[in-house]
Amino acid sequence: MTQNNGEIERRLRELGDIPVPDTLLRNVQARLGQLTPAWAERQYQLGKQCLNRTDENHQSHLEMAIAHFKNVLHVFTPEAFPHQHIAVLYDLGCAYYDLQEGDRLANQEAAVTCFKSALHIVSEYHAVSEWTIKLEQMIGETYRARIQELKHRADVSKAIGDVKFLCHDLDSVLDYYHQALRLYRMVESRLDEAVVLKNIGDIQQSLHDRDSAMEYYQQALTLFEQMKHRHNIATVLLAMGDISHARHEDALAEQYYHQALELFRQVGDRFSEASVLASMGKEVALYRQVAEASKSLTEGMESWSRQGTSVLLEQPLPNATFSRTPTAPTHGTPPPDDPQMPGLKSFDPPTGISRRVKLRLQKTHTTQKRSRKRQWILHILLMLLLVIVGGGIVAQLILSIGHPFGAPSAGLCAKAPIQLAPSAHGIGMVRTKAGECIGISDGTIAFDVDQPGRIDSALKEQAAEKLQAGDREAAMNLLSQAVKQDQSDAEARIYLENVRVLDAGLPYLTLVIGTKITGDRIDVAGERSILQGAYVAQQEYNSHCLSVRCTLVRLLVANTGNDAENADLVAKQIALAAQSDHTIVGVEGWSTSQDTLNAVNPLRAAQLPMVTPAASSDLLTGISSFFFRVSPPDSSQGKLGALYAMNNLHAQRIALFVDPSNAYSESLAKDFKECSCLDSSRIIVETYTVGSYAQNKKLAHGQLQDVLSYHPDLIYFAGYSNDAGALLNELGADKQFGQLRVMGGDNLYNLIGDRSQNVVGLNRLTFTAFASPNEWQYFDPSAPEPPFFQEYAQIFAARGLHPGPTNAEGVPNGNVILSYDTLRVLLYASQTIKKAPLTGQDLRQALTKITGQQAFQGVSGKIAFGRDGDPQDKAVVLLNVNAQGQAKLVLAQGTFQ
Amino acid sequence: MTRANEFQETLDDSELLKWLALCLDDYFHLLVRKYERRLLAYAFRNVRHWHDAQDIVQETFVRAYQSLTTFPQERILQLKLSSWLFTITYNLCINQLTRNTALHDSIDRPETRKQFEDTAKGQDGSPEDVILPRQDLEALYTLLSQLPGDYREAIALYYIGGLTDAEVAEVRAKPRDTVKSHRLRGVHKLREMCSRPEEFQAMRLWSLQWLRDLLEKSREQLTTIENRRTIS
Repeated sequence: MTQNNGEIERRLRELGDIPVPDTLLRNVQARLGQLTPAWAERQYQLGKQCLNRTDENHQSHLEMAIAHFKNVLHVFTPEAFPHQHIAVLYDLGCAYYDLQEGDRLANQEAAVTCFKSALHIVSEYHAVSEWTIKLEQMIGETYRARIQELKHRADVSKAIGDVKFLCHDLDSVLDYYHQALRLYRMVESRLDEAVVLKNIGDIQQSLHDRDSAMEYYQQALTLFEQMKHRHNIATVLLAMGDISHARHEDALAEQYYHQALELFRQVGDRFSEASVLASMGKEVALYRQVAEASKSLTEGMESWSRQGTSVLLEQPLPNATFSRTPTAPTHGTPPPDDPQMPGLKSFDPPTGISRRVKLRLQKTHTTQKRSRKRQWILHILLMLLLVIVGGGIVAQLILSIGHPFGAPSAGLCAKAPIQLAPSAHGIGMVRTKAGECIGISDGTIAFDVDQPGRIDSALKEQAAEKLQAGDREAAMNLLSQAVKQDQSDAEARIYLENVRVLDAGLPYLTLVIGTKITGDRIDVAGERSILQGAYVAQQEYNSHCLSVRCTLVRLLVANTGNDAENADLVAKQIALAAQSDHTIVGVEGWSTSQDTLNAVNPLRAAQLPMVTPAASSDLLTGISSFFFRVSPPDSSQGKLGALYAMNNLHAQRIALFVDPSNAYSESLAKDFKECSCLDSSRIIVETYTVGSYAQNKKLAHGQLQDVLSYHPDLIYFAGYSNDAGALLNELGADKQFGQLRVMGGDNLYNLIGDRSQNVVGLNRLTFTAFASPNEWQYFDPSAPEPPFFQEYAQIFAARGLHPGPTNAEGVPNGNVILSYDTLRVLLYASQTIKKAPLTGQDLRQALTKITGQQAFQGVSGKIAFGRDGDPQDKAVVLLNVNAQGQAKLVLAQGTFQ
Repeated sequence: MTRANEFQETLDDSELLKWLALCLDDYFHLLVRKYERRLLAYAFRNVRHWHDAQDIVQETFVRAYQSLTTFPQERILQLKLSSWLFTITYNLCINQLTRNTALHDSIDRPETRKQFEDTAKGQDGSPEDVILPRQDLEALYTLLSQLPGDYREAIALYYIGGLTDAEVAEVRAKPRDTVKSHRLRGVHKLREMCSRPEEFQAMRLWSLQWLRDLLEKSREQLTTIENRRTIS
């Protein structure tokens, strides 16, 4: 026991962690007279009901079913009720089999135990023989699922090992590879086992432990030989030849090289053949081979262009060891499924090989003193080879996109899979049925590339490609150029900061920022604001993290695109990513209510807390114990808007625009309309569809004309800024209603400073918001402003050059502030947790403690979460837009400090 | 612990109360599963006898069930479940300790440690029946028993029972700030005790010795019983 702060508390908590005898519940039930057959039958029926319910809470139902079935076993003992006991055990086993929550292996073991116990009773009591078939079938199924699970875990370990290698973390690479090796052996996946053995050999060779490397290569060779995988055998032999060569065992090396050469020739891998020849120092032969290789490649390219990409993509991969040639740089070469080189899957990556050949030749030159002339010739040949390969890539891109100057992102999106491969572990781009490209990016995808105003798209995409290839240095250079080119681009800044976090080598936690940054029906300015706020918080937090014990923060960008229903899929992707990356502990998002609603359940199931910056629908109140928000619900802003409309604008005839199918619009309209201060009989309601006005100006014009025929003195627009912008533009063209005011909710803040829409008549706008840069001045003119404002101005100083989310030079809008506060509150909560590693559940617990006296002072006001996840009595403001297009705070309600 | 138990332990009280209000007989087991470990740990800390602690927790659940059968649905839904159950357990522990006055005194006062030791050794049940936490934890139990009663209860309910300060305040019928202050002071005192290693070491050795004695004594008892059986 030590006297460290927190240690005593931890040990005291351990006193509460005691085993509970199974008999306790049974004794209580016996004393209550519950353990009767009738009661057990009822419990069994309840369990069956839970087992058969397949709605979104299926996992909870399964856990409940397990609890009920266990009760039944207290009564239906094998001695007294053998048939019932078997049936219950079977159902209990099935419940465990289906249960995905928690440790799947443990669940599968529990399932097998149930099935086996039941089988034992069947044989003991000579029960009905059909049970034997059913139970044996389920045992087989469970074992199969178990093998899949183990294989999946092995794949994950191997993939992490691969990534660790790219990070040059050689010690932990071996740990992961050995873990993968153990699991592959358990499931008897011999090809995978051999591949991992070969990889371990490569690592050992990098660590200059040649004896050990040779042992692993030997084991890999034996397995590949048993499986008759000629190419893999050749690759291992080449590696063994290299080791022998390094040991100056020239005869043995020669022998290995000859064997490898023969096999590469048999399988027709000319590049590897050339590589072996280079290793053997046979320059003349090498020149001939490289020339032949170039010819072969040119033919391949032509064939590739003729057939299109898809055919070549279907070519099977010989095995995963292709990129792993035996010398140290092998892991640094691009992976065989490099998206830039799909047609080369059946060859070693040319760039890697050329580098390798060059290295070989340099070595040969030193040792055997080759003539300078020959080296020049060789270099020219290699350059030619690279030009051909580069040309092929360009040709492939042109063919796949169908347009010589097509947007690269469109090409990437077109190639995105409709389902992520398990090896992606949740990170990556997915194409939906509607053709939208959504997903999660750690920098390997650039989402904000096709929207108006973004000028650094090409650089971001190049950086993403570099990150995919594991070249962080190049990615960092490109991202640095991107943020110089487009200072308002927070996405690029986030990825750049992420690279720095990874390079720092310090512990870090990962938070996911939920956005809608692609598509034609989204609020671009609003979403960019969210990313800007998040970036300021990330940068501020990391810049204060100076000690070696400090935990940095990395941000992933999750994009749900146009369709809010995609949020469910993306949230599941986040859950998947969190399973393999335990640094992912929470989510900031989304800023729209509908997406947030759709993401709630998957994130709750994954035990990841979500704090939303601006989703304000009343439907979200108390929706999940893992849900929190920084913005108050619509009830508060709807009411404030209604009061202002009545008392200050003296509105008598109000036209209310609402999309009843959208959670935010419906909730805001309802709260506005139902305020007792308004005469609801004098409100006409115009229904529209969110996103439709932004896309179809004629529709906006037609519906507006219908409404204007009512001669309203106020329009209340319960919706988003892109639609409201279209409506304002239509209204601006109508001189008859030059003085008509338009009111709305917090989302209309995004219209301020958004020059992409060129909205006219902004000065007719009044809106409520959950944050404003004027709040500090309004509530306490003597109080100093938080450093956030200065930081924001410094980072995004030149945003005036491009469409940005501010309403004045260097001044953030409400969404920026809310997003900043959201990330800050998540980070603040994480800092209150003294245990490591941090989990989503820990973070949730810490968030629940931000309440009452422990409130967090944000830039947008005081944040104290209630039991329902809403901030308690948080300030709501009302702003008017002046003739200069600036939003000025005129009214506020609630607690600010 | 199985997955199902974990599920029940994480079940929200409000959700649980809805189930109980819906049908007490069908879902009462969820309440038992949710609270049994925390109540047992708390009761064991108080009475320091495994069987007694189990009896107390069983009794807590039986009384809770009996009360719930008489409550209208609205009242069930409004219950503050954790503080209610811990209050029942606390009262049952007090009753138990009152019955065993000597034991109660011994826990509160270090000077009667010998008396507690003798009483503990004299209890029926084999050593396997007595919960044997890790050695350091046993020493921590001992240190905890040296704290003033208010401090000890605040710590036990908060850390061992897993209650919040507000819930502890309800169980102890004291203001929230008072119980929080008791808890923090208690932890501070414990930290001070641990910072005196020679004292802590002595305490630890004493508790280990106590366990060894207990095991030895029990072995002797078992041998005696077996001898008697052989003779008879």
